[in-house]
Amino acid sequence: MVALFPREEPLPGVADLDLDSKIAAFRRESAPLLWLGVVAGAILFQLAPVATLRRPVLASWLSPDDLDAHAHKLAGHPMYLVRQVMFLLKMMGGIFWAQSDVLRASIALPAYGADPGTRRLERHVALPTFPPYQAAPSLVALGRQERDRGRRPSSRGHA
Amino acid sequence: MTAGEHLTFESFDQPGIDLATDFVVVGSGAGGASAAVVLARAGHSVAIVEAGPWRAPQDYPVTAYGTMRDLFPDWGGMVTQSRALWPVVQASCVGGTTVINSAIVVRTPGDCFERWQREYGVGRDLASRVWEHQDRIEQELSATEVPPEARGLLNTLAKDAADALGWDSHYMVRYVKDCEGAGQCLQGCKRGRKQSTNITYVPEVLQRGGVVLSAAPVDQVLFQGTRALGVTGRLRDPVTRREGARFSVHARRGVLLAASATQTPVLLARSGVKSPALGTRFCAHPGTGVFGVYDDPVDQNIGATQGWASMAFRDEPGIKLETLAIPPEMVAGRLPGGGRELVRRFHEYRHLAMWVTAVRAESHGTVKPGLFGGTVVRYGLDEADMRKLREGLGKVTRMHFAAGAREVISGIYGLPYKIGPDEIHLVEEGPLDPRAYVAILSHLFGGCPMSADPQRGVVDGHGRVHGTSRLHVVDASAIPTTIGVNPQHTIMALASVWAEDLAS
Repeated sequence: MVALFPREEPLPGVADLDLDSKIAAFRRESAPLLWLGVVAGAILFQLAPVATLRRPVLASWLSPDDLDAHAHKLAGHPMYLVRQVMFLLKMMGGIFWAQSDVLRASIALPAYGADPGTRRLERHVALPTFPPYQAAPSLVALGRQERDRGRRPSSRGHA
Repeated sequence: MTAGEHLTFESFDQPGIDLATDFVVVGSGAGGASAAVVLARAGHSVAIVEAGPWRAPQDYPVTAYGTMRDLFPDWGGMVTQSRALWPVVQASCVGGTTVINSAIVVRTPGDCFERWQREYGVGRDLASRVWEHQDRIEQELSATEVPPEARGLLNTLAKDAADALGWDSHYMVRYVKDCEGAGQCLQGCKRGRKQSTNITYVPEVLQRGGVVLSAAPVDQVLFQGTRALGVTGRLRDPVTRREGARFSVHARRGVLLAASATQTPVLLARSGVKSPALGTRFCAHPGTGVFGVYDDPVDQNIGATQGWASMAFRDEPGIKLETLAIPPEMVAGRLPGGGRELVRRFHEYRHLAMWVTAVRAESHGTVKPGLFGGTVVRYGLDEADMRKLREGLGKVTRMHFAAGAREVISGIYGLPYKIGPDEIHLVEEGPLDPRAYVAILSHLFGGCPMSADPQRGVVDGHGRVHGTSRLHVVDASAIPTTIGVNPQHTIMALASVWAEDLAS
C-alpha cells in the first residue's frame, strides 16, 4: 500500500497516515476472506519484481524508483488474477489514503469526522425527525442557472 | 394502537427470543418493508426480521471504510464466480439496499408484464395493480425530480451532453424529500433526506404494534409438512459476527421472504425446499462507467450522487445511461496504475465526472448455498450482452466529449489511459472479454423466479412458493427477467400487491 500511494507533494503518502493502526483495525474488523485477499496481495507484491522488472528480489529490496515502477506495472499486469488481487490492495490502500484531511482539502471536500460505529439499541423507536433544509451555496447558484435556462422540475410524478 | 418493540443483539448472555405474530417478514429492504407496512396497516401483527443491524442516519458512517464495515454484508466481499470477478453490491442493515442506493424511481414498464405473461404464464392483471401501488408509494415517499439546487455539475453536464446529441434524457425522480445535494447517497443520507425504508416504513410498522428484530439472520424456515410455521435463527453481534441467543418467530398466517435475490434462494434451499427452478434465472443489470476529464472543476461529490439518466436506449440495444458520483477513496482505487503515477492521476479528481451504463442483460446465472455457509453467485455476460456494455460505454464516452471534456479515462484494460475525441472508436470497438472491465452488479433479479409452471418457477404469480402453503417470496428474487429500469419501485409495488392479497 505504501508503494501504491506514496508521498507526492502536496499530498501525503499513505505511510504518513498512521497506516499501522489502520491496518490493525482492519485486521480486527474485516471479513476473514477480505483480510486474506489483502495479505495475498501484499505477498504477491513482495515476490513479483521478477515478473515486472525481471529482477529476482523482494520488492522491499528495490530502490525507490524501481519500487515505484514495480507498483505501477503490477497494477496493470496482463494476468487478470494478478490485476484483481492488486485491485483489492489498491482499493484498501485508496480507502486509507483518501481519508486524509490534507487530501480532502486539496479536492475541496471537508475533513471527515469519525465513523460513529453505532446502531439502534433502543426498544421503542419513534418516527424520526430531521434538521431543516440547508443546501450548499454553490448548488444554489447552479440551481439558479438551471432555472434561468428553463430547466425547472417536471410536474410529472415519475419518469 | 400500541407501539411495538425493536429487539436486537445486546450481549452473549441475553435470553432467547420466542415470538408469535400473524405474519413474519424476513428482510427489511424495498420488498420486505413494503409488504410489512401493507400488512400492518390492514391490522395484522407483523414481525420484521433483518440480518443486519439497525442504523439511524446519525449512526451512518462517513468514510468508505465505515460504509463497508457498517452497511455491507461481509465488507461487500461477494463477487460473481465466472471469468470476471464482479462485486455484487448490496447492504445488510435495516432498510437493506434502500439505505445505500440512490432511491431512483422508475415505473415498471408495461412490456415487463407482457413478457412475464408470455414466457412464464404470470402477470395477468398485475400491471394495473402494480401501477396503482406505485401511485401510492410515490406520494408516501416523496418521489420528486432532483431539484435544480441539488443537481450539481455532474448531472447538469450530462443533460447538456444528451441535449447536444439529441438523446432523450431527464433528471431523475427519486424518493428524496428536500434533497440538499450532500452527495452521500451511497454512504446513507445523514441528513435524512433519502426516504429509505429504515426511516419510513419500518418505523411505521413499529408504530402500528409490529416487532422488528435486527442483527437477526434467519437460519431456516420452520415447516410442519409443507406448511410454513415461522422462522428461526441466532442473533449476531454486528461487531464480532459471533452468534448469540436463538430466536424463533412463529407466524399464524404466513411467512414472507424478502432477503434479496442472493439470500432468499439460499434460505429456501437451506430450509429444505425442493424446486428444480430454485437458484436459477439469476440476472442483473451489470454496470460500469468512464471518467470525463474537464478543464474546469466538476466536483462530482457535490450535488445528487445520481441525478440524471437516459432511457433512450432501453429497447435497443438494451442499456441505460446514468451519472454516478463515487467517493474519492473509490476513485483512488479505480484509476489505473500505481505508485507516483497513480497519485499524479488522482490530482485531477476535481475535474472528473463519472457517467455509467447499466446493461439490460439477458444472460443469467445461479445462486446456491456455498460450502462454508455463504452464497455462491455464478454469473457472467454472454457476447451479446458484452456488446451492449461496450456500446453503452461508447455512448457515455461520446457524451463526455459533447459536454466539453478534453479527455476520457475509460479504465478498460488494454486501452490507453486517456483517449481524445478522435479515439472514441477505441471504446466502441473495445474488448469483449469481461475481464477487461471493472464492473459491478447492483440491480439483481431471479433465483426464485415466478412462473405458473412449478418446473420453471419457485413461486406462482402471487408470490406463493410452489408445493408449500403459507410461504411467500416478496422480493426481487421472484422477478424472472431483467426489467431495464432501476428496480426499487417495481420491487416495492410488487411486494405491496402480494401483501395486499394476504392482508385481505
